[in-house]
Amino acid sequence: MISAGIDVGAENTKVAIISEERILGWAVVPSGWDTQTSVRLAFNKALSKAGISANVVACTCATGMGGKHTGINAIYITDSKSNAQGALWLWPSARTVIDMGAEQSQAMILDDKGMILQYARNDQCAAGAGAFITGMASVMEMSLEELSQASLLSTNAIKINSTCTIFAESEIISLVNEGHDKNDIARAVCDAIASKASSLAHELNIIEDVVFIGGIAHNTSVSRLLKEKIGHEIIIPEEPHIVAAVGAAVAGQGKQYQNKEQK
Amino acid sequence: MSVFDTIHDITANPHRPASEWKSKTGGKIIGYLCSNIPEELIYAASVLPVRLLGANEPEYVTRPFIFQSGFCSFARDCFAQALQGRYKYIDGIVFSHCCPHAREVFLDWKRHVPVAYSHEIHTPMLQQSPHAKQYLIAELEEFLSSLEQWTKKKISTKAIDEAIGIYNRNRRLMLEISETMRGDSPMLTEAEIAEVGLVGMLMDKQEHSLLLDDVLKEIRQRPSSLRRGPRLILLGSVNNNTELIKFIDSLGGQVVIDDYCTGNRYYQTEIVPEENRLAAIAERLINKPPCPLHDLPERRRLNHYVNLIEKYGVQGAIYTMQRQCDAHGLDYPAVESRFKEKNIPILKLELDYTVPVGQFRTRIEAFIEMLTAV
Amino acid sequence: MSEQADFETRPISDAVWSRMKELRRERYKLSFEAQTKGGLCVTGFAWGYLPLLAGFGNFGNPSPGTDFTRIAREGSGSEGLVKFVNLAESNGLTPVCGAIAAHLGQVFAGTSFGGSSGNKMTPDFVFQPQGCHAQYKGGQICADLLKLPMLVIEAPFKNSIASRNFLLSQLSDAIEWIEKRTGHTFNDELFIEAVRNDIRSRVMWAKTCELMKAIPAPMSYRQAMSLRLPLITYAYSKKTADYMETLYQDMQERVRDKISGSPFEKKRLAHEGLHPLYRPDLLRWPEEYGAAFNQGEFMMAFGTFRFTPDGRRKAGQTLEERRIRLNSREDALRALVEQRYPPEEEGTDYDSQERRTLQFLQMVKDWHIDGVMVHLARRCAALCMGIYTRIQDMRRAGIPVATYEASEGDPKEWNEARVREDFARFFESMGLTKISSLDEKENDIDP
Repeated sequence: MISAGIDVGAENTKVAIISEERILGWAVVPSGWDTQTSVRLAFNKALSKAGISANVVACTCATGMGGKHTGINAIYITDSKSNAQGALWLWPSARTVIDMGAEQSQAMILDDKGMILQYARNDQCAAGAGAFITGMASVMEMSLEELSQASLLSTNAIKINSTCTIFAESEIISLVNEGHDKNDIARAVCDAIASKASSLAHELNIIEDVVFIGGIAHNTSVSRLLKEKIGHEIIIPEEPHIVAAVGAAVAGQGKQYQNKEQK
Repeated sequence: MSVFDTIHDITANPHRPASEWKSKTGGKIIGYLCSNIPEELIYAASVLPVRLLGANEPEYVTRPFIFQSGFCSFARDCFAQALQGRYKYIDGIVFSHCCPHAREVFLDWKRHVPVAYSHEIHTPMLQQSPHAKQYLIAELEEFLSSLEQWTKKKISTKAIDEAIGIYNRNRRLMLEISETMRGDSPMLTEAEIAEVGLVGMLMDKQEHSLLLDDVLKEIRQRPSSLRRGPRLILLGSVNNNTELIKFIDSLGGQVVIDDYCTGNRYYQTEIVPEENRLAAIAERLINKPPCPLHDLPERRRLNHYVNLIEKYGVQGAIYTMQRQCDAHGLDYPAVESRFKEKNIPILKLELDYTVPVGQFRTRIEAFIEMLTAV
Repeated sequence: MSEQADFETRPISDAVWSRMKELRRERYKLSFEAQTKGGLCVTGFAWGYLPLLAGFGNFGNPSPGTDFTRIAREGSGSEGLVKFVNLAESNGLTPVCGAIAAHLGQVFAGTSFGGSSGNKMTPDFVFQPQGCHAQYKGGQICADLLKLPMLVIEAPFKNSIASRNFLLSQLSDAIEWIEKRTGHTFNDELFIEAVRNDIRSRVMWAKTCELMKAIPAPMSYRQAMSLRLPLITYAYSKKTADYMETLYQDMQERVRDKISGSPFEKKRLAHEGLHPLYRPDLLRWPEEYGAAFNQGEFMMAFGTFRFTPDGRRKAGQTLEERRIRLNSREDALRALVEQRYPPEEEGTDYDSQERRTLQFLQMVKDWHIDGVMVHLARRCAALCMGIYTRIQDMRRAGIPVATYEASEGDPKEWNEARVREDFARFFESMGLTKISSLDEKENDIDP
């Protein structure tokens, strides 16, 4: 059976198409103003990557903040559930999932069936989520990848005092003006976000394996810092930002995933 | 080494004086929260009272215990210090029941960072009631006997009198130092005075008073320097961040006085002797300039401000409130209108236990420019 | 409902439901005509110690917030309320407690004192009895804005002899204060009667809450929140006390006949914290998943309960049950004080996380609760005090717990998609699936 999952996030819309065994194709496009157009675009891209036509897809599920407004016939899956399912399908021994997306970060403890046993989420404020790092990168005129690389080169730990995104932005400008090393500032940004994620995870009783997903998981520096802070090894799937889309597709498979081989 | 070197050194190592005191005397230490604590009683029990303060730096340790979106950043910062093990040297905690934020920290501390002794004094909110003193005396009696039980030692009237003497002398010296800011060419900066005061909350008051004697000597030796810039008063929620004062001064302002409970308000009002020593202590706690929480139904705090404005020749006010501090947040309209009546412009800034320098710079600069243009 | 209900439901009997609405209307009317008939008129955040005012006869109480939910529904959604929050903010009140801001916005706008009767009321003073620190300060702002004197009553959060004396002296001073300021005379008999009714109303409500232990529970949480309305502004009236008694008997019958407040109780849930007052429909969301809210500390908030040392909550007793006669003003004052500070429960109200957890766990057990949904009210430290530790304790005790973030009073903190998701996740984690949708918009008005 072939199923599709759509994850309409605050920044990007992700589509994954899977069979029972593997990911056949996926695509990411900016969410933009018009969700429905983005969904169609991403869907078609994913289909062409998978090399299949739409009528082969037996079931489509949608998730994410815009998951109820995809404009296509899709079953809605809650955000946490799709993340849980996706993480477990990709990494069957996942028991703690930390997800950091543009607008929200969440941490959860799963059982072996993907049932959420414990759950925590950031406050309703961008300071605890990926938008913070995106904002700071743009202030520093860096791409997210450059920010991560710069941070890894840092030799001197400095701290950003402000926990508020708006305030932090001007603080970074001041740090730049004061002549601080860009690498050190980049590290301070990554450190702030990793600290937030770790305090979220510490609300729960962390069980290994810990899987880190969501767009921010691409950032090597954040994931290294997070590993140090929570004191557990961290597993990052190959494409951490499409895990929720994969999870939605998994939910569409309507079958259990525990027999799957580790991917 | 000048007295200010000693003071800066303590500021840099805020936990050292108490830790050293402990290893030297083998005595017990109580960490207390809020300026409504009758420190004299703790001192009389031969226990060292140390004020619980935050470190003004980001923390990520309180989240599992405290709901962040509704919580005072200062109280959270204090608790973060406990969670990070920086208060290992204290044997007990004493809190005044003022706001729910302090209460939460008290309950959390007892539960998550257990200490040998804990006590909460229910300071009456309605201090203007003629019955408040009686109520507070009962609370102080209970506190006294709880201290005696814990230290297994009777607290004598003589010891209380000595403590009152030591604290009164300390208040007098601090006010004397603070009043040197009244003239046109003060020898100190308000940041220095704030620091001198804060350091006193971390150490034995007798030793602190010796430092204050030295400060006064140094003042007399310093060359007077005519300072420019509008004379400012800082008011608002508890704030132990002297960086803010330095920052305002660096932008061309001249902070000359504050009304923080960690600043000038802390050493206001001496204890006047009474036959019943607890009544004398209660009288001071009720009569000192109030925190907004205790300032009702009449707004007596505003009169205190007017006095300070006149006494210190204040030209502008900066109201800093800790995020989520409802007491100060709800008092702001009344303060603002009284200052406007007095033709004193006022600027409100929101603190989040750290100073968002970039954000504040523009606003403070504009405010100072406006004052200078007047 | 797309699935056969597990329990028989039946509307709340007319004798109760209509009576509640009548009482609410009556209090509203009495309030607005009080002043024209020569009675007292107060404002503030005045919900406590009302028998004291009733001692002066009928009184007006246009406290900001009386019209809270009506305003919340004005226009589309909560626009009306948002308007008032914005007004408070533009007057320098930011960032403060959302509920207080919403209330004060009404004072800034001057809408609190009009009323549907068209009578314009001019309060004599601000009556600010026990509340949270933000309510005290909010009452003071009312006094500033309306240029009124303010009468504050403090009841410390500690049950001790000193607290009893402190409160008693304040209450008896308050009578003199009001007499002197307003020229109205205090009537001991009216006062004694009001105290007796107040206690009876609250005890009957507590007993009714105890009936919610039954499976199925005789009313839904949502119904309970409406049925208790007269308690908030009118508990001191004999009519309310009688109504509460009828309500209690009615619920006893429903328990006996196994009539349920909700069609399903696949999971019995507790709602912890005050729900967003502008979205009372949320209290019925579990029904979509075949579950029901059956319990919550706020449902019980206006009832008189007593606690045993092992944390068990029990309905208190009426004065009649305790064979206490009130013969004088002093007797009645003392009864009012002991209602707040029962001498047998001396100690601090909430002196440790452990005690609060104990009480909570005991409640979960006694009311047969399967899971707890916690409202994290942004910017309200009082409602959220100790909540995270309590959540951890509940988890440790094996009770499923989930949270959602909003505000009890400020609709700007409301994020529908997020809260819906939080609820859905919670239900799914308890093994529930969606069986229906609540489509009809609820029209009942909450305090």
